[in-house]
Amino acid sequence: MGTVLTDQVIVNKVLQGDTKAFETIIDMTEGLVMSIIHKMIEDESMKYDLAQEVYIKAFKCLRGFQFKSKLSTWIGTITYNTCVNHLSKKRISIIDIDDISQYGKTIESNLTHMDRAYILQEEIDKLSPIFKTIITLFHQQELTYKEICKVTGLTEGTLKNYLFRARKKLKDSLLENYKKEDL
Amino acid sequence: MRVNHLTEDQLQLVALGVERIDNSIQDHLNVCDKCQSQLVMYQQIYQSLASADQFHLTKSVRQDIMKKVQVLESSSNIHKRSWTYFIGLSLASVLVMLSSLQLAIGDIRTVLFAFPVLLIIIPAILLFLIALAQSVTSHTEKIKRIQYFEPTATF
Repeated sequence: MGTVLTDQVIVNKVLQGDTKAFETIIDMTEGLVMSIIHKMIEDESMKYDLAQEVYIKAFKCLRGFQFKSKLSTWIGTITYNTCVNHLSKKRISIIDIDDISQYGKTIESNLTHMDRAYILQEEIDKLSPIFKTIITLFHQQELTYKEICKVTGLTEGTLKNYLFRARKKLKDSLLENYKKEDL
Repeated sequence: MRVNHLTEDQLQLVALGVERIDNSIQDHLNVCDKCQSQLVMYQQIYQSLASADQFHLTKSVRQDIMKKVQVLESSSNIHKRSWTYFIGLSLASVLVMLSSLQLAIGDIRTVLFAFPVLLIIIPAILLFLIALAQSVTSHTEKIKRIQYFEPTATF
């Protein structure tokens, strides 16, 4: 029977000098870390550098982890903050939902061969970083409202409001694309 | 007759499955094509989002991270070890000093009188040695970090 390693066991192992145990942490969190980075950062060349930065920060600060949240949530928070810092250095806004042109790529008018998932992905890419991130954390990574609030520092009310607006935006854009397609 | 369509909020929650569908909502959905198509759209969005591709680290990035973690771990071990060495060295020096003084002077009372004076000189020498050793250690670490922490150019 396999042993399920808890956060505490893994963290203690790493703190005692077992660097191999850190690889378990990477296994547990890479999906979350990479989803946040992919949604927040447009620049492909920076994505893996930021992922490295996140894990090095996590390793250096691991002694300070107080088990008040899940380890994955804590690393998610580091990821989110690292991305926000990167974007603020580049002076890119993370909240502007209406200004889609900054992030969006123009959709070809011929949508007949694009499937729904592809169109949806295009529409998600048009959203600003924070909306892309929270919608992915909620629907894909299946984080709870509380966990997303911890990661992003948003209040629950703001988070729900942002999720509502992002979903509505996606739905409206998709309906518009389907109408175009029908014409 | 005025028709009360479902609100966006209701549509989103019904599609998520968290809003209880009462009879009035169900009745409306049965007859209203507009609300039905919007609900289906939300359901499709949620399904696509849930089944979207997961992103992973490449093997080389993962190896780079682990290399850096090992360098950090070993440098922190060197740091801990160097302090242990210095504390041991200090205690040994004090003992050697005491024994040599007793051998030279022969009188333990004079030794005990001279010892506090020497306590000022010995720590000063030791502090100098510690500072020197630490600067050497940190210089070595810097070289190691420069070697391992070059940002990855490709992925």
